[in-house]
Amino acid sequence: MNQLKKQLDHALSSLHTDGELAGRVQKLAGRQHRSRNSFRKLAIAACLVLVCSAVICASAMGGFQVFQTAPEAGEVSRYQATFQPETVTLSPEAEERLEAMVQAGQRKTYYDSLAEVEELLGISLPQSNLLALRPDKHITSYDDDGNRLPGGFWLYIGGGKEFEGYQIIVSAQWDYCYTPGEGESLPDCLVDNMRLISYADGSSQFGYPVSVRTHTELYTYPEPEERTTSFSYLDENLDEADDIRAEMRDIRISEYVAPSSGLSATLAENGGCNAFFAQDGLYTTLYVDAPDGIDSRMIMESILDSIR
Amino acid sequence: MEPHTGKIPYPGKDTWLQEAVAEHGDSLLRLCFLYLNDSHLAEDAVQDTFLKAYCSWDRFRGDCSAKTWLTRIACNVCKSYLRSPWRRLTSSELLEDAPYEDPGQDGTVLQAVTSLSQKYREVILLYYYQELPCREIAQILHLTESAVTARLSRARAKLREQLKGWYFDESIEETT
Repeated sequence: MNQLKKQLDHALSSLHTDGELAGRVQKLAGRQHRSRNSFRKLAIAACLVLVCSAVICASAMGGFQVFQTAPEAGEVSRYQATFQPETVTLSPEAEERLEAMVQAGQRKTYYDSLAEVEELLGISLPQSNLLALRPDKHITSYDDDGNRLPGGFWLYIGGGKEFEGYQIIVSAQWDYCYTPGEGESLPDCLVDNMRLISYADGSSQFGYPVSVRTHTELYTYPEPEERTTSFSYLDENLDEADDIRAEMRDIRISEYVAPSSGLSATLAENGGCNAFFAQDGLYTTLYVDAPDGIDSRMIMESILDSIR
Repeated sequence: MEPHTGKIPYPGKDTWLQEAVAEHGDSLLRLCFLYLNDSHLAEDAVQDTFLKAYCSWDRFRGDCSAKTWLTRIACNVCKSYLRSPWRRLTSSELLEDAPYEDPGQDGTVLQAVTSLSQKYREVILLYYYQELPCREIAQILHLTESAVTARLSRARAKLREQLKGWYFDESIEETT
């Protein structure tokens, strides 16, 4: 036995599991099993109530619902689970236009400007939220072939007639999503200059070390002054920033959300999640998309924890 | 204790649980304590660990040892405890209640290990305390083996620095 183990065992020799641990575990497991069955029954009942309510509401409202993808104040990254839906009823003319798009298979459409989306929907969308999703209209966008694109917005039409209506999601276009393949590592060029940035609102991102001035120019939401004072480079406080980068080079993307962790097991049961880096010309940001009901922020933190 | 596999008939999960608690209970409890710096939380964590293992026993494929499997669960349980906001608020109580047998002597090593940041502490604990090979540590922590070796090396350097001049110093020799 190695010396360290001996020392630690000696120091902690008063710590023992009690003799009833196994029995307690068996009892708890039995209780969990029973409550899971009860929960299942309760969940089925709740689902029935929800479906009935949804049918009644949808019949009463008819048509489309617009879900504004609004992040919480100050958030930069996209945390889908925190979006607060805002219901707007569309005019019959707008519904006809959307219905025609659905019939034509155009459920996901890209628009260069928000005005085009608004014209199609016949409503005004609160721009501040969309600008928050897309921090800066000047950021250069690229298509899959590396060609420059103007920034724009996506319109998603979800749902279907079986739900007596559609859901519409308007979201800002993320310029370029870098999604490494299975087992692929991050390219050196992305890692070399990356910094771990933490915002006062709790969000974090990896980004290039841009100056505060550049940040001020970039963020239009919240106010630039507020944003510039509310972020810090985490690695400035670490004497091992190089170590972090070295480890990041060693990490394979598929390992970020590893199948054997408890969190991932939960995610898998709920349909899995997607963690990916996106590069928008200036930033390389880790985005996390998770199924409804899963806290994306928690996943983000878990991923960051595993890298720190 | 052998891991149960599809090939080896095993008496059943109740018997397995009894044996696993007897064989690995204490070391897992101490591991959890070293992770969490709190004996009460460590007791909860080790109970959660065995509960999770017991409930998912049927799904354990036996592709690693029971010790590795339990250690992996314990690490995940401890990490989720550490992530909870409540835990963050109370983390300042570090080691105040540490159950040293002999604080004058052994508290130094314990203090040095627990003062390492989590990522260094866990590789030290898994390698030296749980005596797992780097390959298995890599599986548990979802890292590559080279990342584990690098972390281990940096963690040793930090421990050496902290334990400089102390008799324990020479035991932190690289054994990989």
